Amino acid sequence: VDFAEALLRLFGIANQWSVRARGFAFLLSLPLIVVSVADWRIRRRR
Amino acid sequence: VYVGHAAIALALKAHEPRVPLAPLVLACYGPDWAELVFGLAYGRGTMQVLAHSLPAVLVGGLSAAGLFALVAHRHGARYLLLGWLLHWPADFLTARKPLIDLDHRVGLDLYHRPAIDFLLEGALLVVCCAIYARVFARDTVQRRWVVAMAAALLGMQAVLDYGLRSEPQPWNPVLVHGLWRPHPKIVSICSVPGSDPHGSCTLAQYRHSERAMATNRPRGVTTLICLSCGKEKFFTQEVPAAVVCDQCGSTVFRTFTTPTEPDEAVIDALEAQARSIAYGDSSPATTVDDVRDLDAR
Repeated sequence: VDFAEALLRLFGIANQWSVRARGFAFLLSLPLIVVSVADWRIRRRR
Repeated sequence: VYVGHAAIALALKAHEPRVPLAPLVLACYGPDWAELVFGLAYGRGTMQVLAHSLPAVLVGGLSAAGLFALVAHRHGARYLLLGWLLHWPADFLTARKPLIDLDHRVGLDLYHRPAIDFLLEGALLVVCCAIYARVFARDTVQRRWVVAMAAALLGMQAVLDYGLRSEPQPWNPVLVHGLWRPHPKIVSICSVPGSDPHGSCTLAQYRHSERAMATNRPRGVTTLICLSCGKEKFFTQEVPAAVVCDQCGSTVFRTFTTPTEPDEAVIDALEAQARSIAYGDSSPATTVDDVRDLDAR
């Protein structure tokens, strides 16, 4: 049990989905990070 | 849709540069984030309805736009609403999403055609990046950053689609519910729960519909016996219009239908036609002449 799972169990919301949810959150975060970083670099030069 | 949502956010940003990009991207992925959060609380079955059904997308979009307007005090709440709402038509292309509940899901299911999905999302990304670059990337370095961003997003989409190649489910696009089912009202009127309604009641409600009885027939096995060689062929669904015997090539068959579920009409017909096969029983309605004919050599 890692820290994230332990935290979810502490709040009583650990279920079968909670394990996959972290992978899903990672997938959703990647485009946000890529687009935000690129936009910041582009707008910084304006 | 995966990176397609980010592409939509870039296009919206180009249309209204005053809106910050991060909330726009979050809004474009809003139903997915909502699905993730609701899934922790309610399990995955419920969360898709709470996040991706049409009413949920509308409520989620209005909530996000309202929250943005209240907290950020900035222009562009309607673009967040638009980004959230566009999530559903985008997902319609790649998956099957609920209209209202999980029983009514529609979509082109292109995640099960990963190559087409990659081409579609790649094309959308290129177009949206071009729109974004036209507004924001004036010099070469800025354009390079746009190209790098597009390449990174394309790479992520490629990895996702490559992973989807091993999905075991077949491609199953759904635009409407394919199977005719009796209206719940009819079922409650004329039959016990869980069973099909009577044909007469169904026709009373659907006078002008041939489909009412055409697709609600009793299920069973149809046996075709070749008249030439006696070879049997079995069909559990529709019998093809042209059947050829595997053994002799004949196309003439005798057909028998055996219901696999209780069917009052067939049971009644079988009882009426049944003949005793017990030893010593006399054959009913068999005359002396019939027996003589059978014994004719």
